[in-house]
Amino acid sequence: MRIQTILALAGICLLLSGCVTLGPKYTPDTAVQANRATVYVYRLGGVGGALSPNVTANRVPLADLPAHGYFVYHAAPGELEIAARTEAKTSVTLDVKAGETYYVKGSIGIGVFVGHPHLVLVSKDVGEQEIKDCKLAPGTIPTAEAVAAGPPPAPPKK
Amino acid sequence: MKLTCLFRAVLRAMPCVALAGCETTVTVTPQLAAKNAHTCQIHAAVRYDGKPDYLPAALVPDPSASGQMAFRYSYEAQYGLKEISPFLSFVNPLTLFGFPTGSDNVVVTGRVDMVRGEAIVRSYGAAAAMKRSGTVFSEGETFTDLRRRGLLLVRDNLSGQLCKDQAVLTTLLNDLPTKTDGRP
Repeated sequence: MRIQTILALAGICLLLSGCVTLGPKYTPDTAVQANRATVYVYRLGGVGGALSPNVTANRVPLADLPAHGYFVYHAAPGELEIAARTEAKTSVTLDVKAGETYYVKGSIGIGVFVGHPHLVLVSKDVGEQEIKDCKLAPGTIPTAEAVAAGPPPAPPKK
Repeated sequence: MKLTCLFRAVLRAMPCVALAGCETTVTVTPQLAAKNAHTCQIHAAVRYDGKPDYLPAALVPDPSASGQMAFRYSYEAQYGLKEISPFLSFVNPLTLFGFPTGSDNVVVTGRVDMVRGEAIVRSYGAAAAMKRSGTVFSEGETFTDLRRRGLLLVRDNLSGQLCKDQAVLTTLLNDLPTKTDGRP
């Protein structure tokens, strides 16, 4: 009975812990480009640690967002829809202005089979404070030009 | 017998409760008396660099208009997310019956300023506040959907306000003196 309890607890811990190897701890991005805005997308801990929903910008995949992870996207001015999907979709639209910094906070809520992702634009004060606990998520973030070119074509149907 | 009836009633009410959780409540201010009042067109210089979809329909950008008197349109969307702790939702049996697991709030504000040079001659404002609850089955409208809906409501509301004042605005555009130029 005791072994079963320990095994069950270990299983829960395993489910809640992320498997993604994160990079260095957060440092403010200094590679600010002209006519671009800096968009930080980050996620704190909580439930759904094993989930890393893929985040898109105007339907172009940017990166996976694991728990305690963040990434930076240099966005072109204009409307920018940051979205993620598991069994439910979440998206938030930013009115991006060049030279500005935006913080989009991700989290996972309860779902039927898979947790529901949530993305929300938070204030600069909140974002700056919370992102300090995050580490860089792996992956190569596409440029604003690549995002402007649109999503990759869907694979042909067989 | 009574218990069976109660059970049936609960079963019938379940879909209603589940669907009610996804409902979006919308409040637009100021409230306009006539909904179809925004059918006018005011041709003027317009300072706005956003999507044309969100510009009040009453404002028709006129490139040939003098830039001295112009309309300036701007908007802002603010987001709020209220999440009920997933642990609480997990242990709450009502979650399975569509009890909300959190709620999203979006407030969209829009403002039209009539400016002479940089001085504001008249100002119009509108706001749309939207709230929707998500359930374990559905998250409902996203922030993007709510923002778009809010921007369109604000656009129409501002259009209505502009059309209500069309005579005054046209007079001001033609730079004729008017006695009703008292709004901030």
